[in-house]
Amino acid sequence: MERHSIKADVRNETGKGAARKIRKEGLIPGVVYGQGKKPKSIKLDPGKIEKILHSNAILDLTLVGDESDEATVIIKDYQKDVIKGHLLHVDFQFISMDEKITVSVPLNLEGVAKGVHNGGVLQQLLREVEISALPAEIPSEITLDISELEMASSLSVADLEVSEGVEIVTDSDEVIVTVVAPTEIIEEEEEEEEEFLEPEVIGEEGEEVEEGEEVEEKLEEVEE
Amino acid sequence: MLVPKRVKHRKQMRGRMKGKAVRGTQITFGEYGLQALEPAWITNRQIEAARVALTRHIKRGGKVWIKIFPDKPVTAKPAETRMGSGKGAPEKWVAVVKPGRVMFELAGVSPEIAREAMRLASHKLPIKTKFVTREGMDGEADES
Repeated sequence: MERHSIKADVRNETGKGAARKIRKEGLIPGVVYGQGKKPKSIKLDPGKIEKILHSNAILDLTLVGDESDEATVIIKDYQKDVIKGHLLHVDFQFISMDEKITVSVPLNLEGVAKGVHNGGVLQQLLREVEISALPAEIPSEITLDISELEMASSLSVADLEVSEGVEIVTDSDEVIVTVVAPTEIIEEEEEEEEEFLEPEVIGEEGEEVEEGEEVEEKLEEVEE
Repeated sequence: MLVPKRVKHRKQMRGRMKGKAVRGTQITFGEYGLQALEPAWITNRQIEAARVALTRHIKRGGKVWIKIFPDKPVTAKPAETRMGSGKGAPEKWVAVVKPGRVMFELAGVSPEIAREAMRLASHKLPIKTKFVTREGMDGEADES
């Protein structure tokens, strides 16, 4: 598990106005919480953590400010701008190196499935699995060999092999990858005259009558 | 074409399209996506035209997901009608799309084919769009 050290300033000002000011300075707001400790609002340089967002890296966070402190943390959550993709906010979680934590680890598929050679389409349904492990034992990714995967067969979480000390939290029945037959696209050339299709309106009188009739019919059946 | 099966009310108010999309901004099913960069009402005809453009280009093998649904009725008054006497009749169905929304997703094809298919599909839509991939979600803007 890779380890990095980052520096962050403790901030006292909160709210969207303060957050916007911080972003104008080229920094981003963040928060550190967990382990029953008092949460701390921080601000930091996004450049340093942008590259390690998905890596489950352990971070040595140095807090500068009124309450200078050092702590071991992981990135718990983050927010990004939906269009530009730059970082808006980061959540860190305090961790202890001798206490198990639950994190999501990406899956890496290795090889080309036999079914794909025979014309099938590989569909990956699960891209991350949740695991519980000591911070030092968290793998950066879990590899799954799919080269023996035939057409119309699948591999599930139960087929994953993880090292000792790592426990998979995700349900073992969940399908990770499957090879399906390609679907032929049938071009239905329906030249329907474009008229407005009006759907049924819920609670209209006609429907109520129908429902009432159904109930009456059922009542009659019961009486018989 | 996509149309709701049942609705609670035949006509709706127009509403506003302020801000960016907060849901449906990530690629969830496929490998590639087409993301909206402007707010718009996308009609069911436009969605259908984009879907046809996508499926025709990828031919067979790939899989397409449509992640928007036209659930808003839009009314219009007939031509050359005097104003008044109430709201017009429902005429079309639209999906309300805000910037950032991933409207279509694609999987099972090469990046080049996906990019070209999305480019063709984007020409059927009334807004600027961006081709996005699962890794990074940072693509380039396409014209449309």
